[in-house]
Amino acid sequence: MSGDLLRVHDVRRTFGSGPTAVHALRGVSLEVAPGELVAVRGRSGSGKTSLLNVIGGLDRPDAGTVHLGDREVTGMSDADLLALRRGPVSYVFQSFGLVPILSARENVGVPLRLRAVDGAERERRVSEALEHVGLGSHGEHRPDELSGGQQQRVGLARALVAEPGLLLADEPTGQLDSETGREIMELIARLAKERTMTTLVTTHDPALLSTADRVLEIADGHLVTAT
Amino acid sequence: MGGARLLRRRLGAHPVAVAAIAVSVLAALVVVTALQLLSAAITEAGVRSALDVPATERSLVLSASVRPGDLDAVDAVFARAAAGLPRAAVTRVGTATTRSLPGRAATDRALLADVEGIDTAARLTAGRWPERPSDAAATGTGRVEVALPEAAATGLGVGVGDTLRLADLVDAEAPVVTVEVVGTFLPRSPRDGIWEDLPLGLEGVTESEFTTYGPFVVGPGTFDGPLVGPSTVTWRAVPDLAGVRVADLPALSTRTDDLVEGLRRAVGLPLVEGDPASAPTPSVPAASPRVLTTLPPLYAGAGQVAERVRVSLLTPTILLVLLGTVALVGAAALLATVRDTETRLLRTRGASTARLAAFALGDAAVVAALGVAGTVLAAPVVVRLVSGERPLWSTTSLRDPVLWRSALPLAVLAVTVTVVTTLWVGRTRGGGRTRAGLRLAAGSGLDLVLVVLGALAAVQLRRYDTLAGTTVDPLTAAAPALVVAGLSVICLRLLPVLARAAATWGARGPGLDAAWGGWQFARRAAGQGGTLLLVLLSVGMGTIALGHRSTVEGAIADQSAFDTGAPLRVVREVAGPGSAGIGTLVDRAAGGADRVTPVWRGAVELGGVSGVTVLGVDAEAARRVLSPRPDTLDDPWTDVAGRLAAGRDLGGGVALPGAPERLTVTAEVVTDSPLGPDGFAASVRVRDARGLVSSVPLGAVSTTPRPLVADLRGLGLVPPLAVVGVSVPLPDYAYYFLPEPSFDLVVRALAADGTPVEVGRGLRASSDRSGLWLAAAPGASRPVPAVVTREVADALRVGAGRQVTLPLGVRDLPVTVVSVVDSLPTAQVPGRGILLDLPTVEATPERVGGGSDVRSRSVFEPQEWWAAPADPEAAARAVRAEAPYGTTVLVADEEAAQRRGDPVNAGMRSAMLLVTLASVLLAGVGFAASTAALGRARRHENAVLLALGMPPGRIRTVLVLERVLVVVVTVLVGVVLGVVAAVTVVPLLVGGDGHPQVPGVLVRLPVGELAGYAALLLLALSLVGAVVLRRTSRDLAGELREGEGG
Repeated sequence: MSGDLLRVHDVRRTFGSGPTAVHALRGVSLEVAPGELVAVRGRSGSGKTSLLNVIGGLDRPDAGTVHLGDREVTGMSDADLLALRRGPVSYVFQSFGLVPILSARENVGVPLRLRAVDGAERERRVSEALEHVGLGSHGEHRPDELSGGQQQRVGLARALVAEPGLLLADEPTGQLDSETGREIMELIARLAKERTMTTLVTTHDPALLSTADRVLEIADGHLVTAT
Repeated sequence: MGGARLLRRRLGAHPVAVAAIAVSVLAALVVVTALQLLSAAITEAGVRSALDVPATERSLVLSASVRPGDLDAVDAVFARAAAGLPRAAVTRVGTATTRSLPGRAATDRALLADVEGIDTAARLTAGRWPERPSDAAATGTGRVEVALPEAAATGLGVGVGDTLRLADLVDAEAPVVTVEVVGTFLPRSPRDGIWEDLPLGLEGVTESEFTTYGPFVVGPGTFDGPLVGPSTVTWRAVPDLAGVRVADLPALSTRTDDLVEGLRRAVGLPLVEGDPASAPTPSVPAASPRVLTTLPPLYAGAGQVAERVRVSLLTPTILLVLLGTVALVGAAALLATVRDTETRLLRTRGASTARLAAFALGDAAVVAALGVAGTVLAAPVVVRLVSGERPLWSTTSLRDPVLWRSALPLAVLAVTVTVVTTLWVGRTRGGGRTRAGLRLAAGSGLDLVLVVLGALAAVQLRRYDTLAGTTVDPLTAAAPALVVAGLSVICLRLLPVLARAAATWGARGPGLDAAWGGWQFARRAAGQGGTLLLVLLSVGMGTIALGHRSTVEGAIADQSAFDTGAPLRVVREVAGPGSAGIGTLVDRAAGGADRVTPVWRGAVELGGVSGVTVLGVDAEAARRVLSPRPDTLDDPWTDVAGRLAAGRDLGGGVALPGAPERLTVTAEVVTDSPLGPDGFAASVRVRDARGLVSSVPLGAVSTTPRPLVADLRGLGLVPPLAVVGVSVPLPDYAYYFLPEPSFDLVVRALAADGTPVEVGRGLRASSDRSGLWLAAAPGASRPVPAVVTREVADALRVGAGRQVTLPLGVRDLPVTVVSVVDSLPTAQVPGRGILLDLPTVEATPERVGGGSDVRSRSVFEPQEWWAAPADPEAAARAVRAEAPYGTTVLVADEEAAQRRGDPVNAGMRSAMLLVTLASVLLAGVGFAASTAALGRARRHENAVLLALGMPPGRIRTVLVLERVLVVVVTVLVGVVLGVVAAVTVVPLLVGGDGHPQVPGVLVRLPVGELAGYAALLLLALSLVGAVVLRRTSRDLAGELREGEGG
């Protein structure tokens, strides 16, 4: 599946109200070309995760629009948003988001089960995804039997197995040492290129930004620079 | 920040989790304390019930032969002893040797009695009580005032104002005393102690070789004078034990032992049983003294009842504490989970475990203090609520030491559990160690140890059931709780097996929901341990409580049926005027003779077993009237009763036409002895349609033929009737005139209501030295069918089909055992009884034929009538309205209602209701807390599922279904476990009032109620789970935002 053009226009999101209101996004606009890997950097609390949640349909903005290809994400029903996350959009989480009681294979197979893919097809695609991230021989291991880097690879395989057009990776190296983090970023970049998958990665580690096609910086809910 | 402020902030930060702990603590404290209060109340009620026995069973008695001048000295000694008993009522009964009644029959005798306290034991029916005699009367030269029982007055044909003359049979020189009847009386209660010492007072007349009338109750001081000489005197002190409490029993027992020893010293009885050398010199002159008391065993029995009640309620108490602890652990774990971040932060900043423990202690102490405050206010209200007492609150409750003795240690326990759980869970996120602890408990074999200990203790407790006086040790008392706890932990062992199967089944399909549920159930099984234990304990306790209630209901019905034998039981306690007509009265009230069986009762010793009750019934009627519990019989009752009456052969007899009221027998005694004109007392034996034989007086038969009339009215005879015999016992003086006189009884004619009846060869004459008789041909000569209780059969080493000899009446009776049963109703010693068909017995050659002492050949006259009327209560009302004095009417339903109202039974019922409600409440609270903890623990995981495209509703549904699945499986397993536990435990709990349970306790599980309870619990827990999970599953996307921190 090839990537989609991602267009974000003047997205605003505020949590709470009154004096304690948190303005997470204050009119963010951006475009990511199909197959492009864009890194969004910013400090903790700058709005990176909020931006990814709005793009992936996990959260709805107070204002603004998000388009993925020719579909307006912000105008979708809840059901359509769920369908979006089951296919065209996949997530990779900072804390890996793996279910500790499931093996690597079972974790990777969860998105396919959500789409009721039959057993043989599911197993084939799971094996393929694990092979892609270099964990073909670790399928039966549970998360606590894997290193941090391996866990994130499983998380990546789970994101890829659904063959998404848009990959949203929220601080995917945040809990990894720098070397492992670099490996993961390189893997994401390689896979994004191989699959021409539109990819948006948030990070606050400058050392990892080199793998991105483009870097955006976000601060206090505003996109402040682009390189 | 100040300590109080910090505490307030900590508690206020997580109100739901803190509320869960507070509710857990409060609920556990309130219900356990309420149960303790109930236990104390029931124990006292049980003791009161055990001590509430007839006066004869709670007496201190001294009897001796005392000379007139010595009465005061012995009186004083006994009064001193009686003063040592709680509010004792003292009676004194003195009797003199019997006197003859000049001018009346030579065999008539009179018994003079001096009864102190007669006015409390009897009520005057005419006249007044006799007064202290004048000097002349005291020496026998004037009139002595006496009061007579009504029956005696009627028998003597005297009334108030009449006089009689009494002659001394021993001292021929003594003057004949003239007594004046100044009053007639009726005993108030046959169970009054005075009548134990003076049984003649109940019947007024006894007949043997002599006819004794009395007692002639004289005025106070009569026996102090020279009128009667030495008398046999019985002093009886009956203490009022209504106010005795459990704590008083040991001191009372010791004091009674001292009083008995003091009395024995005073009258010179040996202080060591069987050692005459230990007898001290008496301080009062009393010949042939005896000191008796039933008080020590009574006190011991009451103490055992108290112990039984405590033991019985210990089980639900332990289980409630266990359940409360599990619920509290769940709530504390929830608090620790929600504080996880805060705790980690504190640790990062250097907070030691001691510091964290101090924080937790502060939280727990506040909650526990609130719990104690709530408990002292609520527990007494709960007790009054479940007991149906009003008002619901009284300030006196606060002074009850039981309240504080229970609430405070429980509060300390709650604090400890909370602190330990908080620290334990806090060290490993999500309560991993708690789960590990449960896994360890199961894996280490602790469950098996608990079950084995429980089983051993249960066996010991059952032994205690049969061995009076055995002390119940704490382990034994905890048996039922151990069994339930052990079985619960065993279920934890089985859970993984079940879970693996669930996981395999769930992962088979292409979808996620079933697979997800299966994985969670299989791979987080130990995490469900707390929930599982909670629900298992709750269901187990509820099942025990419901089973207990149902079993007690059944046991009450069984015990009542055992006491009454049939829906209606009428007992003739005292033979007297009108008592012969009770049978007719019962037949009429019950709606026909076919609904009534007369019952004759006797007692024999068989195979070394004493006190074997022999019941003679009309087996044909008994088949319809009696309904023994099926499990106590080897075959259906109708078959058993049928075997009793099978081949019934009543023999011959002279049939009487119609339903005669008067039978005229023209008879004479043909003899060569120069007898006086009075002749000898004769009686005729009449058999009715039921086959029962009655002996009816005919008057005196003499040497000249004369018509003698038997009044058949009011005897309860069911026509058609037949004459089966005429008897004339010969007294010893019949042989005074000739060494070998000849006597023959000849019946010249027979007429029923004036209609002549042909005697023919229907009656054959026989005689021996004891008397003369005419008898119809007996029934077949074969053993009488008998139903025997198992204890008797075992003692005799016989079974069905075997023959034994029954020492019944004058001659032994061969009987064949046709069935062995566990128990027979109304047996004096439960488990020892024999049931016979009375008509068959009366027709046996052994009963009809000669060769026995005619004087002793009385018929087996029924003293009871058991009936199964359509409306037993209406029939009972009818009988009570017309029954003569001394008739007791028992209705099974009334007995059951009375038992239900018994404080111990009512209290236990309240306790079990409390246990059921508490188990649901605690399970609900604990389940809510553990579900909330689960929901929180799964939030991140569920947020990931949401990000992967799983609808939030489906996430919640899967989570709820997962919980429901756990609840369903656990409730079902819990019901099975509960049934096993109930079958083990309930028999130990029933009979806590200390009364023997006959027939044995049959565990009855109310299937409908159990299903309803399980369904209610399932619904309640599912709802709780759904509501809690709905709360904890809100805003999952926010979880991702917070979790990722960007």
